[in-house]
Amino acid sequence: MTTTKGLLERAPNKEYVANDYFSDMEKDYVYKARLQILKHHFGGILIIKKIENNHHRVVFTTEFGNKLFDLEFINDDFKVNYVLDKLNKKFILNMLEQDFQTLISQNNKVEHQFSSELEDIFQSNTEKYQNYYVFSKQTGELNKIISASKNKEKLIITFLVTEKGISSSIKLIHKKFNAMMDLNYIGKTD
Amino acid sequence: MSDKYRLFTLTILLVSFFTVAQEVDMSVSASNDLRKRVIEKSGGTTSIISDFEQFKHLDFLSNDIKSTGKLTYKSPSSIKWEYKVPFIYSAIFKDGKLYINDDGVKSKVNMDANKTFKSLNDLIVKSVRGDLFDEEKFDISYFENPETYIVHFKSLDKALKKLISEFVLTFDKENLNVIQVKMIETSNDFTLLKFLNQRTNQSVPDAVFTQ
Repeated sequence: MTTTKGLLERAPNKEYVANDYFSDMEKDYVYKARLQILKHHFGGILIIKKIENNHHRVVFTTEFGNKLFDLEFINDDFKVNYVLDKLNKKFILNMLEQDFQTLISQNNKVEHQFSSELEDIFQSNTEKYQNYYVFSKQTGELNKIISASKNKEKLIITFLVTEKGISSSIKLIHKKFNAMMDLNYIGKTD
Repeated sequence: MSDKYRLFTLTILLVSFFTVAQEVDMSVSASNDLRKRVIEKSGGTTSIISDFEQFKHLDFLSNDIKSTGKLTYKSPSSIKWEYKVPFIYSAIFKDGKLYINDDGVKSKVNMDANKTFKSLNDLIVKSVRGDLFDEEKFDISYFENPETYIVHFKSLDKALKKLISEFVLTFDKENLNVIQVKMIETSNDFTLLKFLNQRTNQSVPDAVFTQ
């Protein structure tokens, strides 16, 4: 497994690993977003909202406000409230489900823990994927989530800039096909 | 009666007064007259330059998402939306095409390929001009308050209804400018556009509509 190659495995020091970037129910997480899925490009506003524990809404609109998709995640369930005809394809919806489920999932059971000189890495498994949460030892912040299946990296989410607990610049890249997302925070910071 | 209670009662009274004053039905003759005057005015509009505030309301959000910018319209159908805060983005609709400049990244969309989007844009252009009075496409109802006329356009077209179930246009009584456009979705989420500092029929160079 390339993700953990050369890393030192140690006994887990916690039961759950947290991604708190979308955890505040009081906040509207609003991003200017660029999505590229194969040959399709979409620009717009991505809104992520925690409704209650284990329940998020993810809505993508154009700059003008027209909805492109409206997704809901309740526990492990995934619900499509609305999707534009052009995006209403199984392949795309599966991708969006994996991307956002990985991005927002807050408390994740630790299976293995690894460390390097600069990073602590926690492995958490879902039904289909092994997700690696990479934390900087220096700042204690979550810098990256790497999602893999059958020992191959599939999706890399990088939290590039973090301010006041909000990740203000996020990049999602798929390794197996040509798709990515660029998110830049435009919501309120206080 | 305590002062607090008195204040509360007064507030309730005032709120109900303003709620009642907010919107009253217009008579058939008054609404016919308004429609005639708006169509006449819209026919004489060669350009509109206006600042705008956009509010995206999604029921589950704590706050509406606000963005602001500048709109330039030139007859018959060139329109430029220039968003300035909180992001830099411009969209120019011209000759059936949409030219986008997303903070320096330029692209072009042929709208003939997307009929619904094209018809929605036509309706927005018509909304800005106030010229939306098509009784085959909309079930239209008229209201007024002391300062404004409020006209509701319920979509009758099936494809349009999927995107926008109702347009609500607010006209300034003094000059019949459209000062507000509300686009309500079937889910009741909506986009509200407010137009400020409007100037009509000023000369607008074609260069404004180059990307």
